[in-house]
Amino acid sequence: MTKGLSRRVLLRGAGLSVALPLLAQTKGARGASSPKRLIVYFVPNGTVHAHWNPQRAASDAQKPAAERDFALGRILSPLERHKLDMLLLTGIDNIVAGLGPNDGHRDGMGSLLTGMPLEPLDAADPKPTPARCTVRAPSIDQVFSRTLEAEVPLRSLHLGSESLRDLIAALSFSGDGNLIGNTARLDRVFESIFGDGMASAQEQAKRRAAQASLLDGVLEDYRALSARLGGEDKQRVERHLEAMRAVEKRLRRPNACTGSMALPASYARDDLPAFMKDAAELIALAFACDATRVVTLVPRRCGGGQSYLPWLGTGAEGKSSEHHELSHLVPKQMEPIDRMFQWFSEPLAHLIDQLKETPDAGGGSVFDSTLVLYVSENAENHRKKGLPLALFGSLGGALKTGRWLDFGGRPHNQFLATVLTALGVPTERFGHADAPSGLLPGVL
Amino acid sequence: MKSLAAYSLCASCFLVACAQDRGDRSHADGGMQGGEAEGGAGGVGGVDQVSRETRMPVRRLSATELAQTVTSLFELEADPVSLWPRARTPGHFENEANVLAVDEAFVQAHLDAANAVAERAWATRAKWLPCASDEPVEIESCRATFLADVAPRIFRRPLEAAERAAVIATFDAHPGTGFHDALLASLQRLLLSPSFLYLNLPLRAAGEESPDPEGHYALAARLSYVLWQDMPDDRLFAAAAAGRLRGEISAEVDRMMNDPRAQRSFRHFVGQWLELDDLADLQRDPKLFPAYAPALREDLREQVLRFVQEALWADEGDLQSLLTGDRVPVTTRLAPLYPAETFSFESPGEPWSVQKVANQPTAGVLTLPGVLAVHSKPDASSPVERGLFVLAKFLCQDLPMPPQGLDTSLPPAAETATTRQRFEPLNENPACRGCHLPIAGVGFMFEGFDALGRWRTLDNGQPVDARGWLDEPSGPRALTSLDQLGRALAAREDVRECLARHWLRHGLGRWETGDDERLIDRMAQALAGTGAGWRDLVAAALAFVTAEVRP
Repeated sequence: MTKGLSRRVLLRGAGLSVALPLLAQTKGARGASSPKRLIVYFVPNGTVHAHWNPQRAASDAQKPAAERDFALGRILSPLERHKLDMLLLTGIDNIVAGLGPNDGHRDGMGSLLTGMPLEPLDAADPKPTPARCTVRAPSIDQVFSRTLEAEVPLRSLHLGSESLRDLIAALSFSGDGNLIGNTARLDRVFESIFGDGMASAQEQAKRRAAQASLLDGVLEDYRALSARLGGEDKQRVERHLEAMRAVEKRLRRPNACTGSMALPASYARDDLPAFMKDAAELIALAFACDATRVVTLVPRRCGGGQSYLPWLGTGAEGKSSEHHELSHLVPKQMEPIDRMFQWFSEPLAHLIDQLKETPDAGGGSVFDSTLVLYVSENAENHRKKGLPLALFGSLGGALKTGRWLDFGGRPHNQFLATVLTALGVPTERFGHADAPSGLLPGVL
Repeated sequence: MKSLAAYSLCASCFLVACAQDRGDRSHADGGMQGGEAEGGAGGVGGVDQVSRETRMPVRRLSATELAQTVTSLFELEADPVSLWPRARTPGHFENEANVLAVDEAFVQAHLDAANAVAERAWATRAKWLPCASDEPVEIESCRATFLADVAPRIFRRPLEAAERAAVIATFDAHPGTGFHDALLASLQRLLLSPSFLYLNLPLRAAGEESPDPEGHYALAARLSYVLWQDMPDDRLFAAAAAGRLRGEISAEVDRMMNDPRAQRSFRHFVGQWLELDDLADLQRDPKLFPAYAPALREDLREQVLRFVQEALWADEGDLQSLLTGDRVPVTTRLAPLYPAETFSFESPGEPWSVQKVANQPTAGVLTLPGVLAVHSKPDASSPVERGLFVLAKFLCQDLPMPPQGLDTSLPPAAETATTRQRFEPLNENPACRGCHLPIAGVGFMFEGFDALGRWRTLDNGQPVDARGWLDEPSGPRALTSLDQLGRALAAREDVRECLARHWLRHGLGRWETGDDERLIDRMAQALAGTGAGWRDLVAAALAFVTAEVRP
């Protein structure tokens, strides 16, 4: 087959038609030549250990057998069909969150992917509440995406049902103290990857070239401005320059994929299931097109507000039906909060279905080379001991999945180092200098 | 590693928690500087003396400012605000420099927006470019008009020679009848430039060629964005061009404050300050609140905005009206949220009327249903959220979250317990009471209102107990009615200061530092007394804000 030839891929969903590049097929090596990819799937407000933790089967005489011999708890049960692709990790604690300002949720968010505590945005801030804090170290998704910069148009995608740039929903840090916000505009993201379905490929190429040269034309103005500034003013303009250079580079690449998909500009709060379905489709397509290899997906913010799941019908007379509020009653009251946490497994199971159904240009499905992380900012209530963590996908066979490993109290810094190493970024230590170094044993 | 035990007790919530935060920081970072801001000491504090410190950060325009600016520039009809991404940061204002960080998504969106705006501007060109004709003969003169009238409005100052040359070059790149392409390319180029996109750019250093050597244009832009979140109008430009703006600041400020754009900007501020954006997707448990329908959201929000406008912006407004006023704007849709037959609607043509609330307690803005509903749970009132709201927005007390490792679940309560009774154990528990006593003292006072902000005398079948207390320098003061709470707050200096702090964050685009205390004092003083309203506060601030713009 000719390289560069397009084929049309039709996935589920009305009005979706996307042309993906058909790269030279490798000789049957399923996904082996495919690039590694990462998805971080966030579940807000921790979990209920009693219903998240798996149950060991009674006959666990031999360890290797026992690792594979477990039954999923109620909360993860929607992921049953992906059990063989799953690596369940228990006994991992966040020991760094407590080193920064207190917060029930934001401290967990800031440290979740960075392994670092929060610190004030402004060193002179007399009252550095967690809302006015940041982390000046990169999160693992950004460390990984930096190694791919030359290869993909979009370094990373950060999707969330709310366009929020706050620690209650955003968890990715670029390393210089900048928190990367989530976008709820799936339509915009789609358009930036697949273009405007209305215009011809030729028109689109022309438009991209025009935009790239427009950017090129103003870069010098921003450079000159930056030279006249200092301190935080300069930092902001420098960040702008960096973003402009990245976008220009992306626009100068040939548009690998084209297509159209009927996506709404916004989703009602009650439409979270619909948002998650569209997000899954978009992620699968972005991977198939190799537009990006790093995605964080945040269905809901953590903490109070907006944490109502009306489609579950769990609101009972006079009793709280708010996910966040109920999470604080654990373990004294475990219903209907278990059902709510269980719901968050459903969009993840569907996302993995989508990835498995989407063919990879390098052979196999895009799931074969994707690592999906299940994470939460808390363990149970505001506690950080026993984080609910799971990995999905074997990265082309590198990880032995279908296992449950209990670590009996390892720091989550080691979990982060292990994930990076699995993704091909060998890491001895990640995050806070005082946290123990090394990897989680037995994962790789 | 630091032991978590240090967090487990907090006798006085603020003092201990903040002291701990500071301790942590220097511990973790090996000596980051402590909490006390430097500077700001000594001096009598005339405007000139402090002007150096009242700086405004170099920042890009916000989505709202971009939309309003291009609408003014090209007299667009539809509001183009959705062209730019808008990531909310709760507790902050949209135009704070730190909130406006530029990422790749913004760069792409602004590129697309520049294109979309230029296309829309082409459609309305007869309004802003009188020469517009596609005849080759006229292109030359159109280019001259564009350079003389339009480009300087986009940059909010005269163009430098090099900038003029760049526009000419863009036109020349589209010879013949390519006027459409030439104009669009020029517009996009200018809209992408930092001179359009950024505010508070430094004036050129002495010796360099400057298009605005006296800073009059910079002053015009500063006034218009602080007061209007929009570009300067023709009068400001004319005063800047004539070099007389600096001498006419107070007259200009008067004029600008009476312009509808100032009121629009004030409403935008209030919406963010009081977190009304959360009303846009207010959810209520349909089983418990059949009376609630999403159609109510817009009225709930608009009612708060109208009330605050009337209380603080109108001529006779003051803090007393804001916190004790009992005349509220209502519609027929809102009427069912008040006791039966409170209002009468006689002129059906006008949806809004201002009427007196009766047969229920009031505390001005604090008892408006929109404010109470936003700080409630979908199925119940929330004394914690309501208490935190009043402390944060009116007293600038941002309480820390519960310490890690603390069991924050409420003890089991009797089936018949009221909301107040369910939360009372927090005031007893020594690990919680440091923060929860001040929260509950205020929060409990609103227990007479349900999760939709409706007055009630029973909660879960039991009589409501809405007594509370307020921390004062002499100790907690018992309060028995919301009316007392409103009056107590309206009389407090720290409430005036807190409002000044919020305006400063919005107006200056950054959080206050120790250097801003004199400015905050001045604004707070302007708000003291009967009939002292928001415009007095803003005028006091502008004296500082404009003094910085000097050649």
